[in-house]
Formats: sequence, C-alpha cells, structure tokens
Amino acid sequence: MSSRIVAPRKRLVESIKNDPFIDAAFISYLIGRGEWLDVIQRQARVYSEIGDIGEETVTFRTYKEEVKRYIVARFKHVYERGLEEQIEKIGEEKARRAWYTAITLLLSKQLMDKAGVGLGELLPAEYARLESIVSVLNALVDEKTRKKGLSAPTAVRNVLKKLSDYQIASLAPILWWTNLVMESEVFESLLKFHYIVASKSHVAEFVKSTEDYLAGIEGHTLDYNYMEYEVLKGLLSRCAELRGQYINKLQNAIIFVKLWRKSVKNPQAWLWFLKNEVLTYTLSVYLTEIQSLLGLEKKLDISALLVPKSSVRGGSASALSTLILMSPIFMQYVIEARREVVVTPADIVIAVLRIARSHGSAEDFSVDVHEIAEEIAKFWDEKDMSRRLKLYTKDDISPEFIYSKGALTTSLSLIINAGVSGISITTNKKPELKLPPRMLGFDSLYIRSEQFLTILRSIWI
Amino acid sequence: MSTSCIEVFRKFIEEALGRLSFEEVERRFKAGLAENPVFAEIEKSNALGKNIIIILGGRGCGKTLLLRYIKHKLESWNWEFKYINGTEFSKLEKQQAEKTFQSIIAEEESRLSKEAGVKLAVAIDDVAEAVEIATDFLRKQVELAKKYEGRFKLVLATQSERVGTLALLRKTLPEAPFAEMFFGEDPKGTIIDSFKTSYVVKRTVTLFRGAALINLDAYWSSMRDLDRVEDLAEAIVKIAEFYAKNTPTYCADAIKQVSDVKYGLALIALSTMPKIISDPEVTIIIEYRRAEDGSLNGLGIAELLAKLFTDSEIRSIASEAEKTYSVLKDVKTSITTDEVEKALLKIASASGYMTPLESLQIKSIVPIQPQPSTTAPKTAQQAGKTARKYGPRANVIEVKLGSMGREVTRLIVLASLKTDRRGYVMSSSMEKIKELADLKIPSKAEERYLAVIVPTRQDITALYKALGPEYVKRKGIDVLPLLIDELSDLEKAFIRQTINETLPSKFQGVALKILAGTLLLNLRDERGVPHLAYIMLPYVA
Repeated sequence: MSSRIVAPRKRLVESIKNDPFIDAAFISYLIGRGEWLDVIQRQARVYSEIGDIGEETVTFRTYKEEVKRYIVARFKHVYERGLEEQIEKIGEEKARRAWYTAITLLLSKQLMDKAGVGLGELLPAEYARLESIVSVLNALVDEKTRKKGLSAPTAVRNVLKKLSDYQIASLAPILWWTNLVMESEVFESLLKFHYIVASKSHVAEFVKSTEDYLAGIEGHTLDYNYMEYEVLKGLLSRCAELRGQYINKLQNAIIFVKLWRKSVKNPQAWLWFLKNEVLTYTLSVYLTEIQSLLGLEKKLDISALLVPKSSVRGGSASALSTLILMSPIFMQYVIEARREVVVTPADIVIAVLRIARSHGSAEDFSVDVHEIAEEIAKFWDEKDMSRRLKLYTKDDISPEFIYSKGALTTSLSLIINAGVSGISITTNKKPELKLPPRMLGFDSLYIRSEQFLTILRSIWI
Repeated sequence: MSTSCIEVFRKFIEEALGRLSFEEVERRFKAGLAENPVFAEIEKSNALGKNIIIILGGRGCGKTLLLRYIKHKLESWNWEFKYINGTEFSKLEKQQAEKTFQSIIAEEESRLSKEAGVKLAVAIDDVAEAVEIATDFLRKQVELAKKYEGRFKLVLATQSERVGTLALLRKTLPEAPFAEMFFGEDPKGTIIDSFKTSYVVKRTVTLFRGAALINLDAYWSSMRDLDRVEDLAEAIVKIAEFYAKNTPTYCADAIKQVSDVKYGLALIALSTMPKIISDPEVTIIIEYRRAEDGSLNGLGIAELLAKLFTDSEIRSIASEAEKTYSVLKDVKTSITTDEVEKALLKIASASGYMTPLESLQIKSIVPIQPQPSTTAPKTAQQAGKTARKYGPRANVIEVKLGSMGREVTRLIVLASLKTDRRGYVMSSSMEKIKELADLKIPSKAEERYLAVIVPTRQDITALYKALGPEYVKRKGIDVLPLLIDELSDLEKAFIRQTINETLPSKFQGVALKILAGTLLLNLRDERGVPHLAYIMLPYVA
C-alpha cells in the first residue's frame, strides 16, 4: 500500500482573502461616489429589464482599476506583507462581487416597491439607501485600520457602541447581505455545517455512542453536552476547512453576520452559533428542503442563486431566487428589530411544495391558507426552527399564530407580485385574509403545480 | 374705437393669465363654454358619464376652466356640483384635516342616503397638494363612488408636474377599495401607463371601466405636428373667439387680426418645447410653461395672443412665418438619414443646453477599450482596408440637463442605416453600428445612447442584423431606432430648408425651435416610442 503523504488542500479561510473589512472598503469605495452610485442605480433597472449587470461599463472597469490601489493604501498598516500581491490576485473578483452586491441590493428593493409591501416590515424602511451605509462602512474600516493589531471583533464592537439599537437593526440586513455575497464560499461551507446539524439524529447518535464508549474508561466523566459542543465545533472546522487554523479566523470572515446581532448577548461565543443560529441555519434548511422537494441534488451554492436566469421564465425565476435568498434575512431582521417571528416567502414556497407532493402528481389544486400555516408550523418543528425561533422571541409558534400574522400575506404578496405564475389567491368559503397592496380578499391559494414547479426548478437548472 | 376694443380684449386676456381661482374663472367665463375645442373632444368621448374623472395637465393647460365647463355641463344634467380646493387641505393640521374630511364625508353620505333623487358631483382641485394628508379621505371618496354608483361622481384635478400626482396615480387611487371596479383588473399599472402613453399616442381621454382619465396635455400633443398647423391655427382662432365672447364687448377687429396671421401664430406656438417629469420608475412628457419659454397649451396661446397686440417683433415673425408656411405646405420632398442627423445637430446647437459634437472620436467618450474583437480587424484587412488608428468617429450630442438640483449629462451617439441608390441598406453602415456596439457605446446606466436613424420600417430588420444576438436585447433600452419614413412631407421640407438655411433669416431661429418641438417627438421607433424626446427634452424643474 502506498504511504505517500497527500499534500493538504488549500485552506478555505485566509487573512487577506477573507477579511470583511477589506470587503467593506471595496463596497464603500464603490457606493461612496455620487456619480458611480447613479450608474449602479440605473444599472439595477437595466439588470431587471434585460439581465445586463454592467460588467462592461466604463464605470465598472474604472472602479476595478482604482479600487485595488485604494485598498492597498488603506490597509498597508494592517498587513505589512503580501497585501499588494494578494489584492492583485483577488481584487478583480472582489470588485465584481462588490458590484453584484450593490446591484442585487437595489433589485430586491425594486421587488418590494413593485409589490408595494415589505419595506418597513420585512426589511428596514431605509433599506437600499446605499449612501446611508457608506459612513458606517467607513467607520468600520477606520476602526480596524486605526491601530495595528486591533482585533476584528473589537473593531466591530467599538462601532456598535456608537450606534443606537434602531440604527444597528436598520443597518444589519445590508451588512449581512454584503458579508454573504462577498464571502460566499465561506458561507457555503457554513451551510454545509448547518445541513449536517439539521439532521439531528446523525450528530446525536455519534455524540451518544462516543461518549458512552469513553465512559468505559475509568475516571471519564460523562458529559453529553460538552461532547456535543466539541463535536459540533469539530464539524464546523471540517466544513469550513480550517485545517489547523483557529476558529477565530472563521469568525473574522463572517464577522458582520455573526457579531452584528442585538438578539444575542455575547455574539463572539460559539455555542449559540453552533446550536441556536437562525440566519444561516434557515438559509441552509430552505435551500436543501426546496431542492429535495423538487428532487434535485443538494447544491449549497449562493453565487449560483445570484446569477440572472436567462430562460423563458428567467424574470420570475430570478425574482423568486432573490426572494428565497432574502428570506433568512427577513426572518433575522424582524427578530433583531422587533423580537418577532415572521413567515417568509421561502416558508410559503416550501409549504406549497410539501402540500403539492401530498397531492401526488402534477395536478392543479386549491389549498386553504390554514393548511399552509399548519404545514409551515410542521416544517418549523421538524427542522428545529421553532425551537430556535422561540429562543429569540416571545411569540408562541402555532398554526393559528402563523395564520394570524400579517407577514404571511406580505410574503405571499411578494411572491405573487414578482410575477411568479402558478400561484394565485382564491376564495372558497370566506375571504378572511386580505392581500396587499390592494387588499383583495381570499382564504385559499390556487396552485398550478406544473407551472410553479417549472419556475422553481429553473432557479437551479 | 377699434384700438380701444383691442385694448380691452388684450387686457382681458392678460388678467386671465395669472392663476385664477375657480370662483374667478366662473365669474369671468360664462359664454361659449361648449365651443372650446378641448371640451368638444371631451364631450364626444363621453368621459363625463363616468363615476370617477381624473383631470391632468401641466401648468396653464386650462384645468380650472375645464372644471368650470364640467360644472356647467353636469348642472345641466341635474347634478349638484361641489368644488373643493385641495390646496386648502394641505394647509390644515392633521387633526383639523381629519375633522374636515369627516364632516365632508358625513354630509355627502347623509345627503345621498336620505334624498333619493339627489345626484352629487364632488370636484377636488389641486388634489396632489393634499395627497399625503388626504389619502384615506380620497379612498373613502372612491368607496362612495362605488356605493352610490350613478349618484355620486368624483372629479379629481391635479397639475401633472406636482410630486403628489405620481403618488396619487400609483398608490392612492389604485390601492383604494373597489379600484378594479373603476380602473379594470390591474389599476396599479393601468392608471400610470395611461398617463404615460396618453401624451405620446395623442389620446386626450382614456376610458376605463367606470372612470376616465383626461390628460389635457395630450390634446395639445396631437397639435405638435407640422401637418396639423391648420388645425392648430383654427384652435388658436377659436380660443381668441372664446376670450372675445367673454369680454364685455365682442371685438371683431381683434379676431380678424388673429385670423390674418393664424398660421404664423400656430408656427410660433409650435416653437416651444414639451417638458419631462420623471422619477426612477417612469418618465412622462407634458406641456408646461417654464419662466423663460412658452408652452403649447391654453396659457401659452393666451400669452401669444396678448403679445400679438403689444410686441411688434412677434407680429413681424408671425407674418414671416405665415408666408413661409404658404410656400412650404405644398412642397414634396424626401430626405436622407444624413440630413436628419444634421438637423438634430442643429437643434442641439440652438437649444442652449445641448452641444453638438460633430465627427467625434469615439475613443474620447469610451476611454478604456475592451479587448479587440477577433473578427473585426480580419474583415477589414480582407477587404483590403487599412485599419484605422484612432477608431471610429461619429456625430454626438451632449445633453446637459438640470433635474432636482442635480445635473445629468447624457451622450447621444448618432448613427444611420444608409441605403444605396436601389434602396438596399449598405453593409458599411451596418458594420459601423456593430462596431459602436462592440465599443460598448450603448449603456443606459452610464447615460450613453446609440440613436440609429433608420430610413424605413422594413429596414429595422437590418438593425437586428447589425446588432446581432449579443446586442439586440438593448434595442429600446439604449439602442434607439428612429424611423424617418413616417415624417410628413411638410416636416421633410422643413428639415431640408432649415439645415440649408434657406429660410428667411428672421424666421431661422424660430424654425430650429419648431423642429426641436416637433422632430424630437415625431422621430419614433417601430412601436411608436419617441425615444429622443425622453432623453433630450428639458425637465420641468
């Protein structure tokens, strides 16, 4: 047997490559200039019209060239060695992602404008006023570059201290989105971790059997919780391919998503993130659940979801994939801003798919919204979401509660107004609910399975 | 005697030029209300029979006068007419306003429910001013229009350029209960779309299921056509007559003087520019009189009439224009795409806010060149041509416009599909368009447009061919086809004369303005969209 040593693969998280403060500087440099911001705003509209994201514009080309010099000048005191070479290597891709982040942020706002709902409810009213985020991004970069050796969490904490609770909650979705898109590979590895955690029995069995096995050794104190914690941490290291690096490296890469939370007392700790995280956990659950209901292979690829779809139903598929990607952000934002639970567009999509599956073949059917609410509650229970949500809110999660929440109709309105065909409202008994913005009465959904499933599939195929 | 009669007539018009209250309008204008050409069109459409009537129009379009007419008409059909000034609402505190709204609604409800025979028409003027404070009130009014169908009529009037107008059309009305009963299945899209297209398709009245939208500017847009100078001249005379009938003594002399130069006056009226209102979602063309220039609407024409009797310059231009018109109207001619390009450059230089950049090196506006395409140089070499060192050149118009305190700079690169003697599109002109597209000239995000002048409707296929699958989706976004075969003979003759500067020198300046006011609107793509108007007309503010 060959005993050749396999060279270790590259580590996923590296200092300069995955520094979110550098990401923040990439974004702030792009949206901080009035004339560039105007171009991005117009490009976002062109993007939604013909799918051209503007990578060939003079603005983007100029930005790509200038931003590299800017980053090097800005961070040269933080990174003494290798900065220039690294930025030369990764600068182009980072610039492209920053451009993508700005355009998709504006696009999701357009979707909400079109439906006339969502802003101020699922996202802060000021969302997508990109100019307002520049000062905070700059403050973060200033703080990080102010003193050599200042740790990333301290820099974030220092900026958070200066902001009101309202400001923190309002800025959160943009920072989360920025972090998610700019560091998408790292987040994809986190989704992988949540995927394995979501299958509870898998981890629990391992923890129990290992701890029981160890208990056979004299002097070993049985502690399932501690074993679970270490196993989860180990799994996270494996999924994030830390390969011997401290877990803090990972924390730095996902710092805005992990630390920009008011709902968590000590966000720097790991236990809550391993066991009780909502944002990235729900994203993983949503994606895997939808894919398995559609009979597709598991694909936890964030950037694939962002790419505009060019098929016949490309427009609505792009809109729907944006809504699915934004759903965990809606959920987390409402927790941060109001300590409440919301039903997101992804929840509705999943509930409809689960009910459609029980109907057997691809027949059209009508379903009472009560049934949708029940299915969502069931889904939340099955996937360990109810437990997690209860930790952060006072809401008593039940089908009646979900049914009575206004967010159910808001999310439904977002899906319907985004032009997703195959799903519409209808009244079978009594129009108890009203669909914004025109407050049309309904009590059921009418699903054209074939159409609805085709659009959903075209997100990935 | 006759001079003083003209003097009285002129004074009457001048007094009417300022902003008159509804009561004032009612007091001044009593005679000949039904003879107004705009009103005739509205009456013919049966818009007044609808339950909700929305009246839109830029400053000076005669909105209040139309309300006066509607009152006159509805009263003759036994409707009780109530006028409410929206501006008054905007001055109220929130609580006060709530009280006022409640009392208005309570009064309406009690009258309608108690008196079986009563028919109530409520007109809210300048409603955009109050749209923020009165959203719920307005929605309640829509509800009443549904509840008391046939007995309650809601008339809403607003100035097109007001910020609240778009909110009224996009949110307040479409989101009102029963909006679909009045505006059809998709009120949100329908109302704003009708407003947007009515000017372009020259449709004064749009009828919905139970509502009507009257865009007074659209009436005037139908007159923005050199082929309709005669109709416009008649309209001007009619307006003069309307004023004359309402002055204490009818002044036949004044009407005669107007009639004598009516074509000249019509041409001067055409030498104004329509304006643009826009927000990120929608761009709309309206008629609007800005301080420094006139407008083609009631106010603009009234001003012109008043000036005719005081300004000798206007009189002499009018008679010069009159003569030119009589010569040009029978000329039959055809023009080339090159001539249209030249005309556009001339229009730009006369506009004051546009700069013509003739034969500009494209490199200078797209500084960083993308990777050279592998096929282009080869074909050039194959054809035995030497590669151009400095890249292509084209005529460019730089548009600098102020909007909401910010300056917008646009570059419009002109290109033409040229035809040979047999009428076939020359491949060299198609290659040039492809070359410009390859250089990424069209970019709406960066406010760079490629305007392609196309000889005939059939030649649009050549444009598809020139752009190829890569760029064809940009057509209508930032590649803008402009057909010239639908320009009228008179327009063509006008273009020829203007670019050759063969018109009387006094008239040349006015002629360029007339071209700007008509050509930008009449150069359209195959679907009738006047792309140049949207990107070259000045903003309202």
